[in-house]
Amino acid sequence: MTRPTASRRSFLLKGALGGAAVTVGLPILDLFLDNNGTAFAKAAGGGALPIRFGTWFWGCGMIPERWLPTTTGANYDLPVQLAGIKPVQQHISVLSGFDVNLDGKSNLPHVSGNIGVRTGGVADDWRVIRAPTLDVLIADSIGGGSVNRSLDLSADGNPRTSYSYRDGASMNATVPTASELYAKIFGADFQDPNKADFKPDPRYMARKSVLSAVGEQRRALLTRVGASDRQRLDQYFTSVREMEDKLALQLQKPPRAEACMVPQAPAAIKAGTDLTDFEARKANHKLMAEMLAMTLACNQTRVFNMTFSNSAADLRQAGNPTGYHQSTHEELIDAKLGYQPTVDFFATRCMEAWADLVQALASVKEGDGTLLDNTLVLAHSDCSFAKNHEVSRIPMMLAGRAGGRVKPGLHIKGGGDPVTRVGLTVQQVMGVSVDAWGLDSMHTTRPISEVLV
Amino acid sequence: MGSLANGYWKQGGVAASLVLVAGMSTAADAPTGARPDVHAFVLSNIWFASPGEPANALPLNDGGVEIFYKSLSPEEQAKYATSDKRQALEQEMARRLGFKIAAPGRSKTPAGIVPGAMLTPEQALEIGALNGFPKGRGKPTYQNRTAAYTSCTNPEDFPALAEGFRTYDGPVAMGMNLDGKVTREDFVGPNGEKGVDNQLWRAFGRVKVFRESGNEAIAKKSFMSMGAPTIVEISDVDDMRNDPQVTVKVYASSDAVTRDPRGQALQRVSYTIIPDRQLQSTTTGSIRDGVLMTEPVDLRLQYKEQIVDAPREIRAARIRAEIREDGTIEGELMGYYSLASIWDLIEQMTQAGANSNQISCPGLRRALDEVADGYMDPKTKKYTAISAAMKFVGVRAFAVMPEQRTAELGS
Amino acid sequence: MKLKSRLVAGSGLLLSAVLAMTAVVGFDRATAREPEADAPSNVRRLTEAQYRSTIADVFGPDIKVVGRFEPDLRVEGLLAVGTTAVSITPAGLEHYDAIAHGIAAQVTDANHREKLVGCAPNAQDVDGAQCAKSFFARVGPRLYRRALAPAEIRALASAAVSSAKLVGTFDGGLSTVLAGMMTSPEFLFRIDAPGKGGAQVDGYSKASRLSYFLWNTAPDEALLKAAANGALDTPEGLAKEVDRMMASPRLTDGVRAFFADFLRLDDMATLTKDTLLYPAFSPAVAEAAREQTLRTIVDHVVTRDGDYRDLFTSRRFAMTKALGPIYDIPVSKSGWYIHEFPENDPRSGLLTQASLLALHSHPGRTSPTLRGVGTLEILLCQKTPPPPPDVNFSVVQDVNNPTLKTTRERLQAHLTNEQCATCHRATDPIGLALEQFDGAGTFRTTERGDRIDVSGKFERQDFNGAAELGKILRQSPRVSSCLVSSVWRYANGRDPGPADAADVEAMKRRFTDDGYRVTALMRTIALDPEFYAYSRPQPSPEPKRQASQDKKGRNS
Repeated sequence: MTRPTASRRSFLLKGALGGAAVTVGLPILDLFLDNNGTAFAKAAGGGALPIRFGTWFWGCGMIPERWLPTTTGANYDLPVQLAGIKPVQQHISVLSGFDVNLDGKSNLPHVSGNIGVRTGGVADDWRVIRAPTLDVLIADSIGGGSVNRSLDLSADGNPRTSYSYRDGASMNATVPTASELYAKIFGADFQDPNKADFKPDPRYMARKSVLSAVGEQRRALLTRVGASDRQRLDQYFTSVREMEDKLALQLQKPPRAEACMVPQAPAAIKAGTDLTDFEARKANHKLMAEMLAMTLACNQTRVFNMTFSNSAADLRQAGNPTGYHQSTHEELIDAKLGYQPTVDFFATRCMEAWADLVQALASVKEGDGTLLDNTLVLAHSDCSFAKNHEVSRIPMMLAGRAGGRVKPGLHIKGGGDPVTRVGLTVQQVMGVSVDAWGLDSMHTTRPISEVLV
Repeated sequence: MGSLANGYWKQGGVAASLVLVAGMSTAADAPTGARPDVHAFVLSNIWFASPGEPANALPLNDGGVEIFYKSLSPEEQAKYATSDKRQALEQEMARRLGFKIAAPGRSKTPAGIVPGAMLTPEQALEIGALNGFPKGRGKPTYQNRTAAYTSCTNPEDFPALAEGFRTYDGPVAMGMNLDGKVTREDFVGPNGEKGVDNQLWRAFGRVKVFRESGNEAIAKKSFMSMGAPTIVEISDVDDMRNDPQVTVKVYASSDAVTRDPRGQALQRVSYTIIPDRQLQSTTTGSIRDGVLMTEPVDLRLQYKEQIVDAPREIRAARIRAEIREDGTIEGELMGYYSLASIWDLIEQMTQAGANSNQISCPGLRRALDEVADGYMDPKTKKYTAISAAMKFVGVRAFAVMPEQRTAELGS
Repeated sequence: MKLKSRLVAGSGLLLSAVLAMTAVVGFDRATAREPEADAPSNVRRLTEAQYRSTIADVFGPDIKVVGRFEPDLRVEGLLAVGTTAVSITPAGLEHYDAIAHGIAAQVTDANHREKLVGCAPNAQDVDGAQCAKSFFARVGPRLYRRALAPAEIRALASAAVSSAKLVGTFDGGLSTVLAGMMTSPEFLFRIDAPGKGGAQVDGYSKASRLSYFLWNTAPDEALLKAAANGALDTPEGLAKEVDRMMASPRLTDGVRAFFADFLRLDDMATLTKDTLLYPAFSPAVAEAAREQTLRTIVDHVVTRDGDYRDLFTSRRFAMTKALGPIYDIPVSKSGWYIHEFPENDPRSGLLTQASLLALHSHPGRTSPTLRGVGTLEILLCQKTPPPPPDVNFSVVQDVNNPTLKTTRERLQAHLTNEQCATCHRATDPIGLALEQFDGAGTFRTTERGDRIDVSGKFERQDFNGAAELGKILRQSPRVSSCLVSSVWRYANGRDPGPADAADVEAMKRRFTDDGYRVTALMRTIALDPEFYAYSRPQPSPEPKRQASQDKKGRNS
């Protein structure tokens, strides 16, 4: 099957819905799924090297006066809280001044901003997601060609720290430590893409056929239940189908990945290690970032989400009774310094961790450049100034060149435009067939052309 | 935590009435905070107290291996000059001096001795006889599972290794005046106290490993005999700052010292005491301005560290300790350390241990015998104990009796 | 090529199917996947605890269940209610699959196969089909919680035989199919089937509801038999099984499961405290504190069949050595025992259990607000609205303030600022009563040198300290009413609708008459015909086809 997925999909969708553009992702349950997704891989890649996408999240924002660059365009100035990204600044674009519009809905602390950025809409109830998160949409589009449609990671040891949702009840749980990441990717089922001899393992055939039998129960079951139960069971069957496809991939020789090197298994985290301690968190995150880089280089996934700290930023310093989040609300602005020193400390540390991730991707040589050159990462927080849970001027950054489709190293000011312009841009760059995105007043048709090549 | 202790420092009256009420209600156990008149502590380390000078403030004694090396001819010395030849040097020393090791199962074993079983002294001699040990020589070592004949099992056979061993003759040492006299061989304490009896330090004071382990900053953070700690329980306390009459019990436990997530000893853990009466002692004491001082009492403190299991016998021991509001205790234990238990400690170190710690067993043994000053045996006219001072640190704990063997309600 | 032409030809069908899909998906409406109010759900995902106990019952407790579970979702305060809201994500299914393969491998290994499989291919049964049939006939009904038709058993056996050919060993084939069963929706979900007449669920569904409610595990052989022969469809038959299950020691498992969910004790698994400020708190201590609370409750409501309200004043605490440092008491017994604090001791009642005290605190200090909100929300079923997003704390919270030493003093602004006071007046006094217990649950009388004031008012009654507050809560009708509605919601896995209101009210009255005994309440629910009502699904369009089902042989 050589027809590029993007146009085939748009053909189908436009035909089916009379030309109206689709603004939500449909579950892959339907006919859009190829045999084994290789067409997806090729189309979105556009060439030999696949393009990857990822999100990086840190909680509790920043202090605008100390984070926002003043000059725009290339070679932007680096304010104090961004000092940590200096070694990788040339790879990073800063997108400032983009707002989440609440349209009169409640500002749910540490929820609205995050959901606004990732789903393009806000809701009044913390449990409600009005659209899937953009990483899910991108994974639906390009993730089918990989062993893992997407990879959800968190650095805090907690598998519930995830902002990847298909809907309000289906959060994609994360892999929260480096050793579990290793076991999942490079463990027993890992197929080294560069191993010369390849023999399909009959166990995968057996497992696939068993799963297929499971899938066949679908019709009978769905007729027995009501509408909302049907949705839930359908989601389950989609997951079954995805596993089948994954097993099918195991039966094929994986495409060669020149940069792939199986890393050493990392040590498991010592029992009792407090991952809310920022040093421990940064260390676990760095290890996970390096493992993630190799995961991407070995084509085990094309889409990832890394949550450095949850939106209520549970980071702490040992011995300090007040952690990051509490400090954002409770710490007085120091009269001499003019800002909250503890908050400043943690915000700066988060930016250093972001630089660790970017560096990890930039350290892997791939093709004529690096892994980062073939990746696009969107970093963002849930708010700007956390003291008041401000969802205007949400800090966002892009890293990587997305295979040459994106210009890195720029500072773009949003001037109050909705954050969905960023979400739309990244989806288009990654080949999702969408020309508008966002709900209510955040609905937009304008990507950020300054970063597009 | 300090604020909890405050409750007992200042509100003794209230606490006492809690105890009364507790006594009245049936089937009720300890109140929150347990009995206010009992304060127990688990000791994380008991070490030979050093007066505080740096370890290399004065020339240190050579260990057995160094003495042996110096006895070699220049040509031979050249063969073993570099540190990578150290092991070969030790082996040459063992060969030339005639050390022997025989482990049942690996060496000729008399009938009836099972490899790996604990050996009695008689069995060690039997094994020795079968494996070429000198007549009548051979002792159980390595946790009593191996028979050995070395300069540490029989120091008296190797006088050459005792050559040049110097005792410490500095003026200052830790401790107290145990015999009431002020003589020429006494020290002055760090605070100027006269007549301090600490002959042990005379023997140890120039041995590198003892000088170093006396470094307080390190000693306070180290755990020794962690699996077999000592518990000190102070009871009948009406006032933790000043009380003319309190009871002090010293116990042993086989519960390992519990550490908190930071690696320090956790406070308020319950330790089951060993019922063996030999490991229990009781004495009286008084507290003045927060410092406890006890009457003399004979102690037998368990000490199990790595391969060493050498209980410390200390006669007429006195405990002087500062009890702090933060739940910690720091103090000294001063008395007459029995020579038999010190010899046992040194012997269990093994020749290998002595070699790696730069110790000459014959030198140390001779020095101890020479400077010992306590409990003269009327028959042999030799002293059997030596004045010593040890320091300790600990944290608040609970000493509990072993469970009754009756059916418990359980949950 | 085939795919394309079929698509073009079927685009009309595709259009309607896609439109139907869009309507069903409903992303443009602001609702989550909550069970629709007019049609309670019939599909409940097994919780992690239920999965584990089911496997232990079917294959024995020494089978290790290893892996990560898809997190359970807490809806309206209960994981049990979340079971009707969740599905299974792709990553989650991968985990279930891995866990299932681990279990299946153990079932067929040398240590277990004799007992659990008990047969092998031999001269009379060369490919092992008979053996496989007998195995699935035995194990299938236990895993799927219903009878299996002979055709189903035959299909499973033949799948095992073909898998065996692929992987090379009979055991390999058997375990592959067994793993598939544990990945099947009939295992992972409890799906109700209608009984005769359609008003109630069928016998097997009743058995599942009853068993997961009273014992938190799958129905045992006896209960499955009662379902098969229709006994559960008669009041006498149902009562007999309920009596049997309530008299069993396994009732403890069900009671523990309810209270662990109700009190949200699963959060203790991820609870961390600052190690410098609370060195006595560790993950092992957190686990012990959780266990303590559950054992304390079981001792009271099961072993002694006591009055639920007394949990708020009881000084009987399950105790073990690991908790000695937190409670500052000597512990001489090994294992668990019941420790009774003396009369007038500040430790008194559920609110002074270390688990709840530590859960509703920050990692480095206490939080009267969190404790107050927790008490109100969990134990009184009273929701507190979230704080406004633009709260400005710049005047209020400075821990090192030399004049505002205690937490009470630092929280003054909660009460003087009218915007804050509306909520904080209700929440803070409860938490302030508990301030003598620090963030790890240890008792103290002063904070930074100042005596802690634990006086306050609740529902217009004065109290001084946690013990007196416990007495007031004991008398509050809201406390017992909240328990009844929580047990109802737990058992049914959903919130009550308008049709259930009368039923729930009757249960509250009955609970009072029965002396507030939790076991009596559980029996009432287990015998209530409404508990077994079938929720008729609305008629639906034909489910959209999946590509795989239209092309034979594509996936083999």
